[in-house]
Amino acid sequence: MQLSLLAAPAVCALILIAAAVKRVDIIGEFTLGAREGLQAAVELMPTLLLTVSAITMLYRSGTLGAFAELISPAAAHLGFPAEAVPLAMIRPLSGSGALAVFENIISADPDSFASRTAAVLMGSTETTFYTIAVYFAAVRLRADARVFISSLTADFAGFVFSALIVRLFY
Amino acid sequence: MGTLIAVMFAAAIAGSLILGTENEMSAAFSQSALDTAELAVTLAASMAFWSGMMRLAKKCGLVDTVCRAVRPLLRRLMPDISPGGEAQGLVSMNAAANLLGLGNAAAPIGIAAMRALCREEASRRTLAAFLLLNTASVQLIPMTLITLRTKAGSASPADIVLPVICCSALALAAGLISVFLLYGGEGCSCHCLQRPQSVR
Repeated sequence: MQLSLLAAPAVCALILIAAAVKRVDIIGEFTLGAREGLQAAVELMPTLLLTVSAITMLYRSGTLGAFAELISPAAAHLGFPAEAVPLAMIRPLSGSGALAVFENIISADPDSFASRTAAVLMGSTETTFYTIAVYFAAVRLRADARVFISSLTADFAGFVFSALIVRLFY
Repeated sequence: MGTLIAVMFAAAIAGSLILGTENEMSAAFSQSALDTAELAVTLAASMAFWSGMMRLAKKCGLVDTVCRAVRPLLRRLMPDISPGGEAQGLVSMNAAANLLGLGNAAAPIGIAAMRALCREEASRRTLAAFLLLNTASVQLIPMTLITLRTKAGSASPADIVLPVICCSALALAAGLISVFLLYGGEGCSCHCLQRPQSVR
């Protein structure tokens, strides 16, 4: 298990060794690639600034939490654990926010139904809004509604299936 | 996206007035610029680093190897990317990084892949399918989750691996079905980068 923590550095080592074997100009080529990456980063920065501040406001004002509380009885009625509803709300918006909420949920009992559902939910969804914002800002293209609809369909399916699958497996 | 951001800001203000969290709001507002600056530097550094690594991987033929491995899958999802092109290589590397759970590498490579896809004038449908591969987060071993569950004292922290894979696959399938329904057989190119779009 500790081995998989080394995955990213190991991939780098593999690339560097392969490059050395093939006698690629490591410093020169790396620099050229890195410069391209930096340019791309600068181009998407303005959109990122706006998106992240909007998400932070929504999260920190408590609006998102209040909304989660509002719909959690209905979700619980449909078989989705009420404790995991806040996670489902924050997950598409903020990675660090979702991680905090997730840790809070599993701190009580990591093997409960709600905790397992939360874990499956965490593992099968991503910070969708952030990803869309960053990926589309990088190509200076406006994300159309269909992009949001299809990604959110996948997220919503993730919510529904997470509870169903946990019921099925345990 | 622009409209959405306006709505989010308005909802945050309304929510904080109703909930009486004006203090937290103002603190969060002044803090958010700092947080974003930190995020920007981190993202820029990781984008630069992984772009450099990808260039090395391409030069020594590793990208082609990964490309061949994931080609059968990608050819169906994104029929209009040209074989052997820059976009195909980056999309493959991004998929591989996602599968291995290397989130820090997947995002910068994914951004580079988006740019390459647009340079090659990929269709809107291909962009949506590619985005979905990233937002559905299909990964073989969810390392962070296992670590967190171990920390919380779970009896068998790794037993979520299979449910997570099943759930991701189902979520991805649902997303792909909606992409196919929404975009149909659309093949028009996106013409991005050449024609910067104004933010509404």
